[in-house]
Amino acid sequence: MSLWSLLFDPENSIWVYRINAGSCNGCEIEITPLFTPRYDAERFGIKWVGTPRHADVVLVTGPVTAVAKESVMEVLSQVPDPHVVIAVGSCGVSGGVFRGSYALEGPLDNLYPVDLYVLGCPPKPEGILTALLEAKKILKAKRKGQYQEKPLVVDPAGMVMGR
Amino acid sequence: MNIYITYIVLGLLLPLVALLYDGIERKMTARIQGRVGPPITQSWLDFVKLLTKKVKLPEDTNMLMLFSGLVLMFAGAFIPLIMVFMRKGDLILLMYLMVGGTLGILLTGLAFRSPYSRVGVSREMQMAFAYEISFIFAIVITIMVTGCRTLEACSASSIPLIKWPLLLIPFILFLFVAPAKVGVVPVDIGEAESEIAEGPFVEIGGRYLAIAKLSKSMKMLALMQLITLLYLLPAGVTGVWYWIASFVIDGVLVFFTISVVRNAASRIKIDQAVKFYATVPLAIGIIGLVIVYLMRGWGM
Repeated sequence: MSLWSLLFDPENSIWVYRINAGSCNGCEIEITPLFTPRYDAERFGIKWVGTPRHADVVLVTGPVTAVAKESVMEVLSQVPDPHVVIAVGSCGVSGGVFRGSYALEGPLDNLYPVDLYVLGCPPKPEGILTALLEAKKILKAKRKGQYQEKPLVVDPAGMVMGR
Repeated sequence: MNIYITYIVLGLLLPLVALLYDGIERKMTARIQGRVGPPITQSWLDFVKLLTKKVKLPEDTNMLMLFSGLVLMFAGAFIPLIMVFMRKGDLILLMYLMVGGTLGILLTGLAFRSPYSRVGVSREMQMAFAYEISFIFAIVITIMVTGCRTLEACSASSIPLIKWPLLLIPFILFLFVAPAKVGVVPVDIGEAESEIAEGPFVEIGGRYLAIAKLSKSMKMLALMQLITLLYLLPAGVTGVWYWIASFVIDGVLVFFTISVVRNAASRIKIDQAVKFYATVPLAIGIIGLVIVYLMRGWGM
């Protein structure tokens, strides 16, 4: 990293908030290792926060169920701009095996603009970490007002598609 | 005229140094846990990032309370920081200002109706009642032993702890109080990040949160420098050596009182913390006060 980015680049500080919108908890189990010594997301300045008002990036797991919809939309409305929304896991991306169910209001992109998709059931920590690093570039574009709404897809092994 | 320039330069530089110390502390924590950890400028980067974010507050925020809380919090960390590094000012006044910082946190939390923030304020208040009394005991015993009420008068030719061995009592008290006053893991019950989402700061964001984080870092550095000044640093050290010695000793103190403590213990419950601070440090404080009072009668 250059001295400039070590001192003045706001993209090197990313605070992540996570919403469970009816997930089976598999994605959460894969998100948690990001902050353990093996993956250590903090070396990129990624930090876990407990409230949407501090968040830059929101990870949404699970198909959005009818019960969860209201809470999810309220929490997303509390996140200050600029922010990035990432749909994590097959359920978050498309509804997965629950697609078409009477109990679903989602997937998420029917309700709220999504910037990044992470595939996999469950996705690997590598994939989620890649998505968080891609979110830095999206945040930078959003700060400059140059963001074109072209969502990216990250596959389970961490390859970015759709650029 | 010259002294004003010194104050302005210090006022601009010391907050940056405080953020740098926060970053060093995060790096040390990461190394203890076997991680690579963030760059040491990470806290400064967080500060810059928070300034670029838009502010989104709840509609029913009490803005007067929020602003007065933030101003008190900032003043309760910034003024002590300048005082201890310039070695000017009154010890009693310093004690009051640092309690004012805690008051600022309470006011900030009370500006919102969020239950998390109310729980945080309640816990912060209980913690303040438990540890501030030990802090006051430590300052009073220090004044009784050394006989100096102002920071510039505390001049000794050698290290204060060696010249007055009785200072060991307030020094130990300070080591007990420091984690609670800074708010790190075993006793950060009011701002429990993973439990009640930073408590009093749960609803604030953007530049307001930046001020809150900056105040916390400055409070840490001010407290460490106060310990350094009162117990470890000979007053004869001046000029460049004063700054080098201060910063090195502050770093060592941060390692032993903050990093090691937070990695060795997990968060305790509020009743356990209050019970601990109301027994061990308080007992040391009372017994120490009696000992110092009696020893003074014998001319020591």
